[in-house]
Amino acid sequence: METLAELTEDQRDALQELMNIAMGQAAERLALLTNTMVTLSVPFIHPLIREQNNLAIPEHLRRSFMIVTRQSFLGELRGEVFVCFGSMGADELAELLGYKGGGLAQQDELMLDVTNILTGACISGLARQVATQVSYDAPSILVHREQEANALDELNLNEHLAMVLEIRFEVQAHQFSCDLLICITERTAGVVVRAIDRLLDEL
Amino acid sequence: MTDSKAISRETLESMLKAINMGVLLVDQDCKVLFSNHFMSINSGRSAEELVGRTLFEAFPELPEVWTRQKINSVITLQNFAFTSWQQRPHLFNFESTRPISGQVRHMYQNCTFFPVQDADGSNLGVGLAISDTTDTAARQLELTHLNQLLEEEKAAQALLIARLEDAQAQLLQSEKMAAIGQLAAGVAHEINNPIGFVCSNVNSLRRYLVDIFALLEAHEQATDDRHANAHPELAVMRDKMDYTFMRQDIDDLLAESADGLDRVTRIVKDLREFSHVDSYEWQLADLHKGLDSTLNVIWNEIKFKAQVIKCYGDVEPIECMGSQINQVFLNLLINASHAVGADGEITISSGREDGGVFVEIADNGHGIPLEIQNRIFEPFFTTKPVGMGSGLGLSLSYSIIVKHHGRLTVESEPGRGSCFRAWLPLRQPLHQALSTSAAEGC
Amino acid sequence: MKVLIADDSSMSRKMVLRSLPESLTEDVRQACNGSEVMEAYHAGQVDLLFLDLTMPVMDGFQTLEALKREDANVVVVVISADIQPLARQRVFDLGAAAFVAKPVTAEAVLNALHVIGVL
Repeated sequence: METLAELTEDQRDALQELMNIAMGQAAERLALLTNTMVTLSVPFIHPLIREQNNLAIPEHLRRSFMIVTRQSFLGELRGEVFVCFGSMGADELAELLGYKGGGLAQQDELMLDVTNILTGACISGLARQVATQVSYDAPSILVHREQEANALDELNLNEHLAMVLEIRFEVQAHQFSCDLLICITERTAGVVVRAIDRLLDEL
Repeated sequence: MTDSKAISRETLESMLKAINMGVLLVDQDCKVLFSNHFMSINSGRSAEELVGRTLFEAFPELPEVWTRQKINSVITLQNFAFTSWQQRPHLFNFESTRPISGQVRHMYQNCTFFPVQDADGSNLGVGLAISDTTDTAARQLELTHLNQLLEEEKAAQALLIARLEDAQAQLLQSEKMAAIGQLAAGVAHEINNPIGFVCSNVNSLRRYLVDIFALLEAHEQATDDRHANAHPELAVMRDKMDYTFMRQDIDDLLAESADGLDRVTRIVKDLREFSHVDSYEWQLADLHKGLDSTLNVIWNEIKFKAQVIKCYGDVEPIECMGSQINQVFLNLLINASHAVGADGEITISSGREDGGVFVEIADNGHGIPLEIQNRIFEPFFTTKPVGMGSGLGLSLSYSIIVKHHGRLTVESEPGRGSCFRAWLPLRQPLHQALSTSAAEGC
Repeated sequence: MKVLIADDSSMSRKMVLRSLPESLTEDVRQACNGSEVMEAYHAGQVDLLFLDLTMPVMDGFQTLEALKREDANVVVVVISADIQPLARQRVFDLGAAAFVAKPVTAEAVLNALHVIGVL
């Protein structure tokens, strides 16, 4: 079992650096597409976010989100990305992505678009660095604003989680931000750990 | 893909054409490079009509700005993009694929946009894969609709259950009150008889004693010194029994007894009035009488706790069920007496208002915390310790007043006291009064 | 030449170290954040600085500003994962001599050093 709890300090540092690079690439893509500057947080690696069979969303995210979306990445590296969107206005971003007018369905679609772009960029960045290929399923909405926020608690996680990485993206000019939780299955986390070990060996 | 040499380009193309989902290939400028049978069949335009045009000429229903940005993002990010039937049901304006059985008119679609590279690895354009999700969507929409119906039914049932609980609580309480009423009526009846003959006996006794004393006085006046000297034992006897005092005291005793009997009689009358079986009928009743008899019944509970101040206004009899209204007064007065501390004061006011009458029962007690003020009329809501209050008193009072087409409201300031105000109309709407009295009467 | 490598990630520092040409490996120090960089600079230990942008305590942008304020005679090569054009521009505006994108390769470092004339 190669869970995150068993990572050494060096491995953890390396993983953080890998994610940092992946995020940098994701931000560049998003910036290119929307012609804005994107602010990145230092990725946070959660020690053991899992409580029994449930995904325990960090309290500070739980308080603020209105919509949570999800998207799977599949291949040698498997898992799901959860994106927590706050209540801040996404209207300008909508315009940048070619949306016109308002409407709930359209806002949902915009969130799914952003989910797809960030997931694709982050995970592809990570996959490239650990030399594997991934594919994606279509993103979908997991928790909607009118539902109870703790609907996430009822998620039944049938594949064991190994790693949870928390990343914050901010588009400052447009008061837009969201938090990504990248969850990698226990079975495939080894791909990342082995790649990290290779990297560390080379140094 | 080393075997790809064995499969000709034409075979691959015909496979793409035949596949049972929409396939399009467009370049960076959204010009259609390839379109398969599915697209032709559903759009009614042949491949020749579609290829070579822009997506927006070929499919005018596509929103241009959005679609271009989508294509652009796929090329820039070299990543998939998706649309789902849930957010964008009909990307392409195709007819439903359930022409006979379905209730939907248009085809629901999921669409994937994917980057396509040329043989040498350079960007060729963007592929679109369109899948028909009409069946899933129709089923899902049906389920959503059913779910909504179920939710509505659930809400209706919850309401019904709440009403049933309410009704049951009322039934319980009114049965209890009826039992107490019967008991009180029985006791009152049982006491009434002996009190009756004790009263008449005391009255007779008083008359007899008056006669006896008159006789004694006559004797005394007829007596002279000679007779006194002849019978000194009479004077001794008289002194010994302290005749003068006895004579005086007998009057007092009789007056006190009469007063006691009066009070017993009044209590019996109040009990009967309070629990009057026939007052379950609509009749004209004097609210002040009801208030007074209720006060008498619970006087023992109140007298050591609070001073009662009556500010009765000019109120004419109203049409009501007297015993029920008395129950309301009872509940409010007992609550008020529980709320007050030292120097308790309960003020009862009444008067005319809005074509009806009001009765206000105010106390200077601890008041009701703001956060529970809107709950106090709920059945089973109580702040009293377990076993002390049923939590039914106010809810019952409320429903009684509502049944009388009146209003029961409360104003309370924590620490300063509460004021409950019942407003009742002078007369009940005709049909209501009749039907209820008919139902209650049997 | 006195070299300082500033990055909060030890792996990242090692990767830069590994990419250095031999001629620059004689006097190399390391720092975990901007305030350590400024200490080393004030101690006269920095001629060439490899600087990460996202660091705790004092980040790369703040370090560049501080060096600029002091009119420091230090050649700065920014090494960052934030490869947005606007971020690069900001770095050059603050006086950096070169920008190398993470993950760092020996080739990219050599190339940058040649361009700015250190080698």
